[in-house]
Parts: sequence; C-alpha cells; structure tokens
Amino acid sequence: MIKIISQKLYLRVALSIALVAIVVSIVSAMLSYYSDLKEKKNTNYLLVQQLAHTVEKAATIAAYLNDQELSQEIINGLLSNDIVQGASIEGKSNTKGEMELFIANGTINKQKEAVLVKLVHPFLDDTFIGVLSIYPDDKFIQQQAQAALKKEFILMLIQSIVIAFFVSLVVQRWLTKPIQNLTDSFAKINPSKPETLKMLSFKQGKRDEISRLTQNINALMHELHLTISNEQTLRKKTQELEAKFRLIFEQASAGICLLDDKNTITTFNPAFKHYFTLPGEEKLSTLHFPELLNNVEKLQSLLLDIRSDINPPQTTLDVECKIGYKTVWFHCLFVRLTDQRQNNRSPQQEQLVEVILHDVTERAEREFQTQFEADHDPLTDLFNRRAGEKRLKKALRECAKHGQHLVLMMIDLDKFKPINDTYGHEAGDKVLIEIANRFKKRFNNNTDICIRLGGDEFIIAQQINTYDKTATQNQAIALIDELQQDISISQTKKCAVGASIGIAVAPNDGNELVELMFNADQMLYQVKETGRGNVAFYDELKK
Amino acid sequence: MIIARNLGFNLILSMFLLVVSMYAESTEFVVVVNKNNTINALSKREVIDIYMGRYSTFPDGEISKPLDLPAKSAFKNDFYLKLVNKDEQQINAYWARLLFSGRGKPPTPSASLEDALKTIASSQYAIGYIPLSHVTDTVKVVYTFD
Repeated sequence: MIKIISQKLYLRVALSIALVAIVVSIVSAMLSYYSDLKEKKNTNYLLVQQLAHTVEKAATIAAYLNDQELSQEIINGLLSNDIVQGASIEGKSNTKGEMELFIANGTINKQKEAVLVKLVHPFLDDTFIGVLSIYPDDKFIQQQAQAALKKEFILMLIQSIVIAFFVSLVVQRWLTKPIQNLTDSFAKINPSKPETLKMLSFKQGKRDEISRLTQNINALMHELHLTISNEQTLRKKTQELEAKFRLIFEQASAGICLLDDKNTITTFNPAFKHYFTLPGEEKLSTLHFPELLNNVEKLQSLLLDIRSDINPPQTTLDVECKIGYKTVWFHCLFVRLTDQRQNNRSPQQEQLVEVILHDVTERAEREFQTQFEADHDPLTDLFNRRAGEKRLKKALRECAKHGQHLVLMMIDLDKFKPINDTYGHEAGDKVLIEIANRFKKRFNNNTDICIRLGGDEFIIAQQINTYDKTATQNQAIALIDELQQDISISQTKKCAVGASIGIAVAPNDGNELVELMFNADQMLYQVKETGRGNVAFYDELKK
Repeated sequence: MIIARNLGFNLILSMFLLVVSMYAESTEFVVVVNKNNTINALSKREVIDIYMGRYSTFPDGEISKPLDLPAKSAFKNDFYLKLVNKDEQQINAYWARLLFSGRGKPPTPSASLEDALKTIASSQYAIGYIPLSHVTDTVKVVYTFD
C-alpha cells in the first residue's frame, strides 16, 4: 500500500512511523482506558463507601424511626453526588410482614455493584433494622474515562505525527538526499564509456556511512577506470592484430585449413575453398581432408606420423589432385600445432594439424617439362644417354635385388649415313623419329627403357623375371624386321634402313653397367663386322 | 506543667466517674404505667422503642406518652445509661437531630420525680421511670432492670 502512495524513502519511513505510532497510540490508549476505568471504578466504589458511612448514622435513625422525610432527605442528598446514580433505604419488615419503610430514588437496578450498608439498631448492637443501598454511577465514570482516553489519544497522535514529521525530515536530510545525490551521480555514468567514470561528489570532511560509501565507490571506480582503459587499449590492439591476422588468413593466396584429430577440416580460408570448389559450387564436397585431396592412404599415414611427438613437427608433400576435370598439384605444408592453452586442457587433447597449401600446378608442369627436356633426346623423345644410364643403373639394382634379368640390346642403324648424305639432315631426322616411334610402339614405355645414345645408336633394356634366350632372339629379329620397313621422308620419297643388335644379359654377362654395355657393344661390333642386319648374344662370344 | 495538670485532671475525672458509677449501681430503676393500663409487662426493647420515639403507642395500640425526669438530674442520666448505654447529652443530641423532620418527639419532661408519679397515676397513657425505692401503689411496674 505504501508502494502505491510513494516510492520516496523518507515519505515511506515517515508513513511507517506514523502508522506504527497510530497503532501503538490506539493500543496504549485502550489499555490505559481499561486500566483507568477499572481504577476509577474502584476509587468510585471507595468514595461511595465513604459516602455511605457518612450518612450511615442518619440513615440508621431514619430507618429506626421509619422516618420517610428524613430518609428522602438522605437519599436526595446522596443523589446530588455525581458518582451516585441511585440510592435506597429500606427498613426491616415488621412482625406482620409489612415493610414499613422503603425509600428509593435514581437507578437502582444494578444490585451487584451497589454499596450495601446494614443499618444496625442504634441502641441494640445485635439488631439490624434496615439496609442502605448506594449505586455508583458507572456511566459517569465511563464518561470521565472516555474523556481521558480521548485526550490521551489525541495527545499521543499529535506526538506521533510530530515525531514522524521530524524523523522524515531527518531521514530526508541525512539519508535520502545524500543517497539521491549518489544515485544521480551514478546515473551519469555509462559503463561503456570510461571517461564518464568520474568521481562521485560528496561532502568533504564528513565521516558518515554514505560519505564512506561514496569514497569507497570512488576508489573502486578509479581502479575500474584504469582497468577498463587498459582493457580497451589492449582490446584495440588485439582487434588491430586480429584484423591483420584475419587479413592475412582471408586474403592469403595460400589455402589454409585446420584439421582435428579425425582429419576433419574445422576451419579454412577463402583461398582454400576456392581451390577445392568448382565455379558455381558453394560447399566443399567433403570435409574429410584425405578424401578431399583424393589421396586417402598416403595422407592418412602422413597425418598419423606428424601427430606423433617423435617426428618433426612439420613436413611437406606435393599432392596431385583431381578437381573436376583438372589435375592440380598442391604443395602442402603440414604443421603440428601446439596449442598455447595446452596447460588448461585435458592431457588427451586433440592434436590439431595446420595445412597450408599452394597451387603449384604450373611450377610442377614446368618442372616436369624441364625434367623431361633434361632427360630426353629432343628429337626422338627417347631417354638421352645421361638419363638412360641413370635408369639402367637403377634397373640393374632392382634386378639384383629381385633376382631378375636385364636384357640389354644395343642397336645400330645400318645404311643411315647415306640417307643423311643423300637427302639431307631433315630427312635423317625424320628417319630417326620414325625409328623411335617404332620402338615406342613395340616396347612398354613404362617398364622398358629406350635410349638414344647418340647418332644412330640406341639401347633398349628390358627387366624380365625368367630369361628365355629364344624368345629374346625372336623379339630382336622381329624388331629388325620392323625397322627395315620403308620410311617416307617426303610425300614422294621413301627410304629404308637396317639394324644390327648386340645383346648382353645381366647378371649372366656382367653386373656392372659399363661391363654390360661394353659387352653388348662388342657383340654389335661383331654383327657389323659379319654382315649387319643380325643379332648376336654375348654368351655366344664367350663360347 | 501542662502534663502534670492533665494528669491531675484525669485523676479527678476517673475518681468522679467511679463515684457516679457506684451511685448508679445503687440506683435501680423500674418502668411504671397507670394502674388502668392493660399492659402488664414490657420488654426492654419495647421500652426503648417508646422512649426513643420509634413508636408512639404501646404494643397493644394504645397511645403512649413517655415522661422524662428533670433534665440534668442523676436519675435521667442513669436511666438512659441503663436503657441504651447513652448519657443524657447523647440523648439530647439524638433528639436535636430529629428536630427538623418533625417525626420524632422527645418524652415530656416532668418537674420532679413526684410530679412524674402524679402524672402517671392520673393519665392512662403515661409511662415513666422511677427508682425502685420510690414505687408506690398508684402505679404499675411493667419493666424492671435486671
């Protein structure tokens, strides 16, 4: 109810005090009224008793003499007192049963409250001759008590109101107003703007609770101000840094992504997305990194390795990957991340892996081209001598390791020089190209090694599990046959060359390449000496 | 000085009282009426009621006219002391109180004991008190103090 009346503290305090005061006034006034009433009644009763004793003698005589007039006079005298509402004198009934005297006046119905005085025979002590009854006036007493009550109540009420007024004044002056000032000062403060965190005003020199509170708040705010300012400066710096990092991350030409312990991509930058989505697609086809790069087994084992502490924390890998119809090469840098918040985490925390990848397709292609050009004879696209020898050595090692045989055919074209001389170098080149094509057609490009040693000299090497001399011989003869076919050097002109082949087989004819080549060359020389267009095996020379 | 005088006064008073009481002790009163009165005996209470003015009749309804012995006589004082244990002054005060109500009327005073006896002998309604030693044949004794 007070809430409805006013929210102001001092008014509420005043009202509360006034209410309590009124209630206390009422209760105390009532209590005082009843005790007063009782007391007054007692006093009155005593007074009436005294009154009765005063008139006792006269009443006795009146009763003794059955004197109506005297009795009436006495009764009237009694009734003239405010505290008496009724009185009666009655004589004793005589021997005939008649009451000789009964004088009454006023209200005499309340027998219980009456003061009764037995009238004793004036001359005989033991004889009663009548009763004097006096009835105290309760109404009068009550009226008196009520008047007193009213007065007391009004006095207390006035006192209460005055006290309430002054208490409210004091509360307003010493409590509400300072608090209001404090509240107003507070209202001016905007926590998001540290510059508004000013000192609250308070009266200097005062040492009451509110002043101390204000001082403490000021101290707190001072600290808060510093803290918030520092925080804001820091936040600004952090934001700047973050913006920079974000710029680096977002604008990086390299694709950057983070992998969780299940190799799932959790974060990636726009460049990363750009690499792995076709134009028009919105989402990555899968978030599983090894699957995304179409290289599940290799990448999974690599990622497993990098998470282990014994391995270096970073490694690189070039991955070929098909995106749509394009083949793309990525140079990937894998980094095991050590989280700075590691201490706070559980021991079995996830090991994150950062992957930074570049599209190196162009470079890779160029490298392949360069490598190809370095390894191959520019005219025939067969291996050149240097790259060929390298591969032969490798093949020899593999054969020794696996118990295989390496058949090495050394081929020299017959009747080539005349074509060169007759039709010119261009024609010669055409012949060489055609011969190389026939090699490529007949032999497996991946497993067999075809080398142009220089001029019109070639080597073809085959790794075979079981060496069958007859089959090799047939193969060589078939090769010679094919090479002898016509070669058109222009639209009208055709020519033909022949071929001589010397064969050495590792490990039967030597384990070293130099030895093997020398032996094959020896057999070629032998064929050339003995009429060309034939095949010779080194083991035959030994026999 | 004052204390000594008071002491002496008290002594005299008590001696006087002693003498009076001895004298009173010796005086025996009887209540007498006219010979023709039908009443033969009265109780003490009936005597009191007649003398103190409660009733103006004898118990049988006849009018009673009580007589007092001369005022300030030893007889009157003694009689009232014996009857209601009050001295003459107290009795006078009693009647004075009733003077204005008009109801009660004190007994008629007689000039002397002899005068009283004469009045009783002649009046049928009269009633009086006399010492026992003065009783004559002309009156009838209705009450004797024990």
